[in-house]
Amino acid sequence: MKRVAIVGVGQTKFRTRRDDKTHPELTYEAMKKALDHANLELKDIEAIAYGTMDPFDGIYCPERWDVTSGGVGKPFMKISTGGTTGLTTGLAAYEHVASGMFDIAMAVCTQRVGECVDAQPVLNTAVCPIYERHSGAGAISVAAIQATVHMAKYGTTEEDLAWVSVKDHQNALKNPNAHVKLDIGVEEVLNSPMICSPLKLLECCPRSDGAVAVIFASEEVAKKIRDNPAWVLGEATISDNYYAGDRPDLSHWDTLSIAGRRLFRHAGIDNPIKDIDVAELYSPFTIQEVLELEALGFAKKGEGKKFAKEGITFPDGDMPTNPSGGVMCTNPIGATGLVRLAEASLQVMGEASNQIPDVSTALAHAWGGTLQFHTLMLVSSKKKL
Amino acid sequence: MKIGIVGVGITEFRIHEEPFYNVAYQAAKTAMKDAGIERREIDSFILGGYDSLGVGRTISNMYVAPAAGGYLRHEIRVADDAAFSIPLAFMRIKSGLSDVAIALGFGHSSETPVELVEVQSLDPLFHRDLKLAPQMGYAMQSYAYRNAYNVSEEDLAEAVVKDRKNAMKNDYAYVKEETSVEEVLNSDMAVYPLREPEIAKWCDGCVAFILAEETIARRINPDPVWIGGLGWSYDNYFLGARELDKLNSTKLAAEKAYKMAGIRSEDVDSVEIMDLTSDYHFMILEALGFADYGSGKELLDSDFPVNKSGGALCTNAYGSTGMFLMANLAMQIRNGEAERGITHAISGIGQNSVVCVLSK
Repeated sequence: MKRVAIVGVGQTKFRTRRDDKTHPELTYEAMKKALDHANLELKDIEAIAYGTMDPFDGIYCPERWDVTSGGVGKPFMKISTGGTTGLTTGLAAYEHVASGMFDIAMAVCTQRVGECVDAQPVLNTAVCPIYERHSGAGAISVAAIQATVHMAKYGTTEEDLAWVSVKDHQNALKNPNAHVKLDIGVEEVLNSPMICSPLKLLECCPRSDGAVAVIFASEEVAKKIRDNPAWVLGEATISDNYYAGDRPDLSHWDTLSIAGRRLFRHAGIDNPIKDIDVAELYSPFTIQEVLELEALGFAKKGEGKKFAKEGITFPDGDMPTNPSGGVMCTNPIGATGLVRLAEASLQVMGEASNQIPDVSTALAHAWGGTLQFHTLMLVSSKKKL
Repeated sequence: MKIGIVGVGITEFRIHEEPFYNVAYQAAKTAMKDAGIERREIDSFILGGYDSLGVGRTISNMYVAPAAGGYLRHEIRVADDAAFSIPLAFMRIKSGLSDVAIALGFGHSSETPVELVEVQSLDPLFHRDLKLAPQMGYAMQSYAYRNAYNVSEEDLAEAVVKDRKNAMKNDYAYVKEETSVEEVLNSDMAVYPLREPEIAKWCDGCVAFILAEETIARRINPDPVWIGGLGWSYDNYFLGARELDKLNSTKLAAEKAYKMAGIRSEDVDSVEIMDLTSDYHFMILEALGFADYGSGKELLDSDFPVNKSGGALCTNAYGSTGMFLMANLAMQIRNGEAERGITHAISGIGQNSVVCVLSK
């Protein structure tokens, strides 16, 4: 396997609507920023992996139009896997280079959730029309069940969860690209309107328009591009069965535990909380950060609820989580996974807007489907742990 | 390191009324049986097929992945014709991240009105009001092609006749009905200048390949079909900025595939092409380098095997057509009917192409 590094990152500003730009213009904005960051030109990019989730965009197969942002005449591959799309697109671009077939490949994801009336009914068309569709299954309803089960089993409180939101919102204030910027405390979260019990408005992500691009390069090329690249140390993707009702226990995200175990074994991580300095987790709902911290071994089962409240996941804590403000404050659904990787890479490069001191290794995560998929990528300033 | 195909599974290509994951399951199971391996021996599940509207469900890999066998495994989807998932599976194995992978393509066009869905792929500013269904785009290309090179309707009808004749001998083909040049020329005009038999009909079906790294491949199957070259490339979206009488995405993809395999078009002895129209049949062969521009017809008069499967004109399951053609070529190589061949797939209105070189 060829060693691969991330050498450039570009993000647009994420907003409720980006009516100022067309789909390919928005894509190009992210691509241009990534190219500038890596001091490269479009002609240097040998191949592109492109990701989006068509149903949210009001346009089907938008890659056909978006290819005009700089992909014409190049190998250009469209990836779409639900909420994990951003990170699987990053993974596909990584494989372009790791295989030795290309020296420089770009992952780019664009999403305009502002184009669809409501994301949840759209997501509902993903589930089985016979057994689950009429239940209203979507992202928020399954997250609410996760929260209820976790509360019943571990005594997690609404206040515990509110602290996750407070932490993310405080972090987003430092991120110029973040969508929702609110200076809020626990009281505001607890007093915000109930959306899907027990999750309240300020515990739920927005729907965002925006794009993100990440450039991958082979070892020889990466060294020439920058002296602080983010080396890709490993990846893991896992797929569960189709029916949300078939998950064995919603108080644990067992598939994420399995994926994490595989990644950590491959990358040589013994103790995640010690070996990983920053985590960018896909937590559009407060409860999910708690479940993810537990599933990945950062917290013991049932103890993840304390992490935000006790400051462990704040930027000055032992396990800084989502210093970008996370999915809680910015969610361009099919691009969100790649934003996680972009932010994790910037932390490793020492160039993040809400930089954590002395980061050497960072984890990026995305989940998708109705709790069906997970993808993880690990990046580091070191070539090997 | 070489990467080989060690198992092939093709389902029936027709209109499937049963829950579609059953069809995907059938393809995966058949491919595993063909390779003589179990699900647990496969580490990566690379799916290919369209999303949402194209199969009637958002995030279509949600319901296809478990049917393919992807439970608790690495799984990803290329959202295009499934032939575009072959390069991704290839790169994953080449990276060393996978030893044995399955690539599974699904096409379920009967679930949705494809033309209506495809109109939604047009940008809302310039093209959507034109309500261009794919067949209308193909018709513009046909019109440009016929005019640029004075290609006759009779010659084009012959391409249909030949594909139909070949399909009669292919158990997996969808349209099995021989026709004649007269019949084609007297059939209804579908979208001028394309007549009804000159446009591929939609159907449903799945295909799966088991792919493996060289040393493992030889353990599974003493005679794998090797993937020697791959190329994929995109053309401009704006039809007004394209040469409508040529398929430049195919040309670029072919150049890359030939370069990777270290061969030229003369070095292959069978071709499977995604001829969605009669004109595409010639235009693709020209873009692949088998004939000069406007001279694709020459191949009809030769013994050179093109679309022994019956081509896309006889079997076109929106999403798995390219992989269907590839499976047919792999079988020909296995049966000793060909030593080295190339397969081609195309999507959009001829905008995106992938070319794959397969050999003994």
